[in-house]
Amino acid sequence: MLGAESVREALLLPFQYKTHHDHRPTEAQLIEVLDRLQLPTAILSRASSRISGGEKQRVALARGLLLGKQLYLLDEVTSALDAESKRAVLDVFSDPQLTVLSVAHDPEWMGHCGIIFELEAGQLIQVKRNGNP
Amino acid sequence: METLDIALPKMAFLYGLCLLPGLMLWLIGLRINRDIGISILRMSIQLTLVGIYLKTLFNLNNPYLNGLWILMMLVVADLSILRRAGLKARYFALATFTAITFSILFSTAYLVILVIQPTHFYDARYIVPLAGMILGNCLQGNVIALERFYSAIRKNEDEYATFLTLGATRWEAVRPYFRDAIKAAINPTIASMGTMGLVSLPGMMTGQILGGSEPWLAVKYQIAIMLCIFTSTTIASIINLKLSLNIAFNAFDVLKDEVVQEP
Repeated sequence: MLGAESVREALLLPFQYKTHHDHRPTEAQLIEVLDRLQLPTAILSRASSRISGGEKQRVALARGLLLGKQLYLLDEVTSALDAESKRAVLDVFSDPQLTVLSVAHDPEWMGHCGIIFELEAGQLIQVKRNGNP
Repeated sequence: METLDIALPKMAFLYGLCLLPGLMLWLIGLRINRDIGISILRMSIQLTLVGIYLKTLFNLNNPYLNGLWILMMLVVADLSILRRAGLKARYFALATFTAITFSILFSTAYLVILVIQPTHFYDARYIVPLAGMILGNCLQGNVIALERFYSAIRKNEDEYATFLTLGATRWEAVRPYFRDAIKAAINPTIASMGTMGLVSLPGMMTGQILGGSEPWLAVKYQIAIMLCIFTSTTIASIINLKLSLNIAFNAFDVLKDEVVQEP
C-alpha cells in the first residue's frame, strides 16, 4: 500500500506530514536510495498502481530508508523479489547501524540474521545465533 | 392576489390522479401499490397535523413556543442524520446537535435578524419555515458527509494505516477522506445553485408565486434561502465531522468498532 498516485509522490508522502516536514530528501538522495535497491530513476514518474509487486516492495523499503530510521520491522521482505533485487535488499539491511526485526521463511535472508527465533504453531521451539549479525 | 382554494371534494378528486400510475405499475407487474398507498396516507395525515400545528403556532406567535418547535426539529434532524449515516446516536448525538444547532441558528439569525428584519425576530411566519427549509437541506448534507467519511475510512483501512505509520497525525491521515466527504456533502447544493431556474423552478419560489407574491420578491427569497442553505450545510458538515473525530477514534487513532451501527 503506497498511498499515492505516482512513485515520486509515494516516496515523498511522509515528508508532507509535520513530523518529517523538515527532512524532505533532495533529488540526489531519492536517486541514491533507488539505486541502492536496484530501482531505475525512471520509476519516479510511473504510477504506483502500474509497478510490479517486487518494485512496490522495494519502493516501500526506499521510503522507509529515506526516513532515516534505525529500527525496521519487516514482514517477508524478500517474498516478491528476484535474486538480484534480494541481494540489493540484503546489502542495504546488512548495515550494522540498522536494527531489523523481521518475519521470514527465506533461508538466504535468515542466513544474514543475528538471532533467529524459530516458531512452530505459535510456540517458540528454538533460538539460533548466527556468527555474522 | 389571493390563491385559489382547493375545496375538500376537489382534494378527494385529486387523489384519483394516482389511480393511473397505480394501474400502470400493476400492469408491469410491480406490486408496490400497497406501499404507495401507505406513503400517501402517511403524507396526508402528517401534513394535516403540521397544518393544524402551524396554524396554532402562527396564531399564538409565542417566542418560546416557536423556539421549542425549532428545538424539536433540531433533535429530530440530529437523530435522523445519525441513523441514516449508520452511526450510533449514543456517541455522536451531542456533536451532531452542536454542529447543526450552531449552523442553523447562525444562518437563520443572519437572514431573519439582519436581512429580512420583521417587527419581531421570532415571528413564526418567517422563522419556522425558513429554519425548517435550511435544516432540511443541511440534514441531507450532514448525512452524506458522515456516511462518506466513515465508509471511506473503513474501506481504505490499509491506506489510512499507511498514512499513520508514515508519521501522519490523525488529522493529517484523515484529511483526504475529510475533504472528499465535505465536497460530496456540498456538491448537490452547488449543482442546484448552478442550474437553478434553468432546469426547474425552485420549490420555495413556486410556492411564493402561487401564494400571490410578486415573482421578483419570490426570486429574492429564493436567492436568500439558497445562500443560507449553502452556508449552513458547509458549516454544519465541517463542524460535525471535526467534532466526530474526537469520538470515533481511539488513542491509537484507530476507528472504534462500537461507534458504527451494525449493517
